[in-house]
Amino acid sequence: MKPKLDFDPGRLLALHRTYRAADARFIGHREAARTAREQLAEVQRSAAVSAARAADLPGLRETAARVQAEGAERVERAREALAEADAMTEAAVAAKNAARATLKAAVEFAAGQGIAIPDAIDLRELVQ
Amino acid sequence: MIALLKSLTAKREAARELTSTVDDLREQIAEAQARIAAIEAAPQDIETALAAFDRWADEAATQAVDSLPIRRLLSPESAGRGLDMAPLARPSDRAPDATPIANAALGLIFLVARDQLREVVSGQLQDLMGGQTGLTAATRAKKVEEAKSALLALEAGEELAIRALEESGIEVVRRSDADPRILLAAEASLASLAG
Repeated sequence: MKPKLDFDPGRLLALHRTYRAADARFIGHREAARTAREQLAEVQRSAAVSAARAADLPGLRETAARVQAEGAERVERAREALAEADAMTEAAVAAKNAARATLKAAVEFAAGQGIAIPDAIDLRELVQ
Repeated sequence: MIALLKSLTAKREAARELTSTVDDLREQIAEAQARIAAIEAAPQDIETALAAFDRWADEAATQAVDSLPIRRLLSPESAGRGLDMAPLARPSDRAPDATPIANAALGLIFLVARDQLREVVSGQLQDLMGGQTGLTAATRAKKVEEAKSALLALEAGEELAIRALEESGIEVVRRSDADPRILLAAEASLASLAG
């Protein structure tokens, strides 16, 4: 026996809000990853400059080694931050895609049931 | 202040319980999906398998007889060739295609020794089933429907838990294969389905 289910058209908007929120989180993480990438490049550049300057100082071999080690440590931290930001972006993409898939399935089902699709839902977004 | 802390702790505890409920239900949903796939792929009963064999053997025998050049025997000029069938040779083939002749031979074997071959096939099927009965189409359909109902109930419970989490401000990623009926169902329907 098929279960009797009542549908709530408001759920379409709720799923759409979930999708928009997931999309916004993805954009945020992507932006953070871009910033982390830029920071890594900047840290690498400044570490290289510091190491070169320290190497030019006559008779300060220990200082040069310390400057080089500190630079390498800053680069490593920036790399870790970038890896973390990339991982967050990847997870956010997966969440966004899942939210879009559920919204798409719900919209298609609703259309088949004759339930009106709210104007707020841009169907073009769902076919990406 | 203490009341506020107690309320926050209670809310956090409730959210943790709901999240754990979603995880548990997702495990059960995966199991239910696997159960449905297993029922759908389970062997059919021997009677149904033999009925399929009978249909196929009937068709093979009919096609074999139809493919024989029997009319040739009425021709004074060609009757001497008997029922000889030359392999099909198309310009594109590297070697002549003997499949029609092989099919005709197989069909004729079924025509004259059908019962003996059916016995052999039946014995082989029983060996393969190792004492299991297999499923008739009606039993399979019933079992699949029951398993799908159980799955729907689990999905209803999952959706209720997700909506409760969303109401408390916690976003949960839905499964991309979630049933759209459940996604759009009214809360009361979900509650009655989930039991």
